[in-house]
Amino acid sequence: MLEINSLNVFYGDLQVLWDISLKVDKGETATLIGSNGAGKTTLCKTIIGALPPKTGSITFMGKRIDKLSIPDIIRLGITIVPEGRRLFGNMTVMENLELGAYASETRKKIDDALEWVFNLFPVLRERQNQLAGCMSGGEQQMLAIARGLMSKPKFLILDEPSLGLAPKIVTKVYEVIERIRDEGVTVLLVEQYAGHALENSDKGFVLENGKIVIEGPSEKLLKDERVRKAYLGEE
Amino acid sequence: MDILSFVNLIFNGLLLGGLFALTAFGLSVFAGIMRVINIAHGDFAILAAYLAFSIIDFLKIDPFLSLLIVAPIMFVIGYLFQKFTINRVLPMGANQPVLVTFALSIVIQNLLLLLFTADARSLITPYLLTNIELFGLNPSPRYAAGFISALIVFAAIFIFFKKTYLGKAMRAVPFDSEAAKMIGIKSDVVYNYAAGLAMLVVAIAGVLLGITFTFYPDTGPVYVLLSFGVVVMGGLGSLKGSLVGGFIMGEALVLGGFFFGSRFQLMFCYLVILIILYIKPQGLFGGRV
Repeated sequence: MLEINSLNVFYGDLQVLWDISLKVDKGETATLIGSNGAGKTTLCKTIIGALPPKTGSITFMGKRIDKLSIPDIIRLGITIVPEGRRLFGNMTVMENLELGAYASETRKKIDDALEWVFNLFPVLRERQNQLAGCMSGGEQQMLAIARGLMSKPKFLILDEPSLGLAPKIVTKVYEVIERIRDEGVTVLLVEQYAGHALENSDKGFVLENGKIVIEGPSEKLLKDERVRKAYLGEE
Repeated sequence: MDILSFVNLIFNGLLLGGLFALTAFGLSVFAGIMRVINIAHGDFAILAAYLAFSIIDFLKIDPFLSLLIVAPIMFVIGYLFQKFTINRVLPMGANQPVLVTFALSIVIQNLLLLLFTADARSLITPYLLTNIELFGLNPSPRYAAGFISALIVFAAIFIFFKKTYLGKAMRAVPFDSEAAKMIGIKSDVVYNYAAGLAMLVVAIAGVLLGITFTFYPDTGPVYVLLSFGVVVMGGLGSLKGSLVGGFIMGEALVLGGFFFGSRFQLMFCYLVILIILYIKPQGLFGGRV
């Protein structure tokens, strides 16, 4: 579904991503693991079209997307839930959701999209008139994911969905991700602490200093000694 | 002076305050969304007044009717002005856009001087000079027109921000432009429309000011100062704040005139602003878009 081939990305003269190649198939859940500054968010930004790659290609469902604009890529079916949630705290839950459909075709059938999202997140239906900034961290993460789903994406990128959340809430977030996957959405999880993500995904990629250093099926990565030491918090 | 004349004064202060609020809305929208103080704000209002003046002169129509032509023209001017000047300098920091508007202020003033000479102009029509009596009060018809227009414009902008996608995008972008970008909102396009909207509102304010006061090519700076006072007092970026700020300004002006004489009434206005900012540095409704 998404195929990245020898991608090189620069910030000015500084190269941040080196020769990245990865492939995520339809219906799969993949995890991108990496520590702070490894280039995870840069890769996300490149996929969504916020950062043009210097060389290499990104193909989505057989179509080159690496020169398209963000709204065009969203209309093709890729959506990102950015790191740190980035909700519009000055606006209501409903308004945040509506803006999630801003660039997409679902804007014309907004009620369908809302119904779908409210069924996945019943709590948001009750809270629709509340200000997004007044909700708890867990609820905000749910809203951020829901806002991402409003464009009815085929491919959803979640940048650090567990960041800053209590372990109990993280479990809840991953239950939701499981359900989204059951809805037929292909998911790319991007995480620093990889335990939950790998347990809930089919395969994983480890990004270090802008290069993919390990890749393979999730159960294999969970057993990998380097992964266990660096990203699962084991000594 | 009897009590009724005093109530009359307060009432007209309120109406005048509506006109001041209307004058400030365009600056408020511009500052709230683009985070740029438009120094040329007053000059745009006077430009709109001259446009209306020419149209009224040419078509012999009512000043309010002239808005049907002036407002769309000003929308387009705002859109293009944002697209070709402000958007280009926005990435360079906070000062450059303000400098550009400052330059534009001078250009507009000189252009108007060239086209219309330095003579005083007005958009007044006879029916706005009649005396109205309402519950024993004598509201100025011109102030009342400004007041009613202010309420209509306020409601219209409010509904636009609340109910339309574009309006919501205009609230989202200044809150977090990076997040807006990630959900596919192009902030430069949103800015173009926001500047168009601001100038459309400025057009309405310009015509209402033209009806109420005489104007010259160099009157603009008076109104940008007044609007700036209103916007800062109400809180930068808050439309509600600008409405309330306008009312306070109107009252301060008439009461200042009443108690201290017309020589000191403007000084009294700015003294009121200073006191309010001393108590609430972020303005009355500051910190919200």
